[in-house]
Amino acid sequence: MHVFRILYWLWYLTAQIVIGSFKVVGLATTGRSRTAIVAYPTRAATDLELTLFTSAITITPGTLVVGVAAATESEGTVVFVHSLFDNDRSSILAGLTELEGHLLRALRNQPVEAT
Amino acid sequence: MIVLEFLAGTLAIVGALLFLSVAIAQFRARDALSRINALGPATALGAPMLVLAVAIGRSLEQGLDWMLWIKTAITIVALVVVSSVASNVLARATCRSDAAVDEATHPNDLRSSQ
Amino acid sequence: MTLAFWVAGSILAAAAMIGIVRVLTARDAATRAVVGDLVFFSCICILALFGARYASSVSVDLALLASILGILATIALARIITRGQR
Repeated sequence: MHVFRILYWLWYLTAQIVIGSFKVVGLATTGRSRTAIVAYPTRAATDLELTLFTSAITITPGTLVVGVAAATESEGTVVFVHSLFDNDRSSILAGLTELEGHLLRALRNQPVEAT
Repeated sequence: MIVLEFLAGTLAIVGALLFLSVAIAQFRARDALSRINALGPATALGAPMLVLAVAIGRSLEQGLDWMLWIKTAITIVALVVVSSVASNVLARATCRSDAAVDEATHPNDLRSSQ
Repeated sequence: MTLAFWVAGSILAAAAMIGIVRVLTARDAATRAVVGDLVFFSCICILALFGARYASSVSVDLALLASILGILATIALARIITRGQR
């Protein structure tokens, strides 16, 4: 059901915001942070999907979009993401893939193939 | 009723504590990008909690008003969407200006691409 | 609940004061823009809490307008940081 996918997306985003907020409270009390900037090749095809995806990344505390490189002939759209609590490239990319998968399933109403 | 009063008070105090911890985190973060990143809890979670607490408190005192709840819903959605877009714009401006990125930022894909 | 709202207002005032100190000690313009945003939203939330205490209906409209138009100040500051480039 389409409505359930959208509701599940809203629930997932709220849970991510709460988890990230507690990490920022941890930063305020202990002062511990591990920063990194990674490039993420996104699967979002239209402008609407890309806008919602970058907004969702930024609204989650701990990840922030610093720039979007438009698609060229050789490679697709690339999103540059600043991460505050994680400097391991593979785990950041895994988190972004999961977020993007939930969003695209809610928007397209069909399973998203892995790339 | 007493449950709703307790809920409104708890929401207000937790939201205010989120604002305070974000203010302290602005001292702990090491560069401007980390500070923009650490602003998230205040605008995405703290402010909606406070607005919701105010709406519950007013409904308890003056009865249910649909216009108040519509306005509250618009406020919460606008806070989440608008603060996200504002953070994006500010982060992009920070990258394009000469603000220093912390040396401990690793991996840094922006540095290798320029 | 009234007591809880007063406590929350005091905590928000403390956060705004800490933010003002951070603006004074900041070294780059981007930090000032971010902390200015934080102080702005703290003051809006204090006003909303006072509106609940004194049953003033303007405070809800004020929070609504501030949340929609608060982006203008941030975008203006971002444009100043990049010296007019987009």
